[in-house]
Amino acid sequence: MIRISEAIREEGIVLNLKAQEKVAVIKELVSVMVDLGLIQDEKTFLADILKRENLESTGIGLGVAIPHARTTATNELLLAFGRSAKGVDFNSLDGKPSHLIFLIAAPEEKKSHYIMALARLSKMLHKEEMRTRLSKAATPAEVMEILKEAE
Amino acid sequence: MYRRLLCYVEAGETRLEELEGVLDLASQLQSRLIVLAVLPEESPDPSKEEKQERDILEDRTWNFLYEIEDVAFGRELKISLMLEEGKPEETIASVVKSYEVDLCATFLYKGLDAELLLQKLGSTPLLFFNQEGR
Repeated sequence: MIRISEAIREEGIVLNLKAQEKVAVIKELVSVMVDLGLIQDEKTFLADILKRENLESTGIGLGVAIPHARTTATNELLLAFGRSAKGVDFNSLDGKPSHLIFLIAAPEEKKSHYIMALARLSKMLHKEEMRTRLSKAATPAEVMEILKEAE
Repeated sequence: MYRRLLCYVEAGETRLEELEGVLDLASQLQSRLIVLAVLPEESPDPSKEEKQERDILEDRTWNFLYEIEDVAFGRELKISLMLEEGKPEETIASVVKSYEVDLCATFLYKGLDAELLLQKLGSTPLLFFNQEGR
């Protein structure tokens, strides 16, 4: 069973994203993962994420975006979370900016884990209560608690 | 001409191979594919069993949507996923209107009233695919 709360660390949570534009936000979250020593090849990972981003809207609506990729740049399922008060345009179908942004990286060969993580996260974030709690969380530790409780 | 193609899949559906025809069509038309699933409305006071059943259904549906996304990505198709709640025919019609969908595709699911859907869609064309994905 995949647990979102086990794939993310407190240090991978950015409650006030500096970047305001989609690619810059992705780069900010990727660099958080790199700084944690979780990504072996930043360039490859960024290219894999942006390749998908150019084809799809990973903004799933409701103020949420989940940029994601399977990549050779990591050996484990990883998540980073960023929050933007102003919101970022992720080309969501509903046209609304994304305030809650989860970046997912998974090894190429772990397709089922990757799909399960995406599905689990989407299900969690579809609930209004969950989005409100994440929007109001004051610390990364509180975000971790919210994710654990939701699972 | 068909910038946005909406494909409705029933919640809980898992047969990826049936989607081949829709993916081919989206590819040929160079359309953005919007894959929509609709969960039934939750009863106001669900029992523990009902909650569990719904939970499993929601899990399976999101999993299936992301399976489709993964295949579509492999084909370099533009795709968006949607999971809504309500009655399928009304929700499909509402999504078609809200997101300026040009063409609709689905399957002859038992839980889908085809006649009602055609009525609700008005002038938006609707394609039914069979189990072989044709």
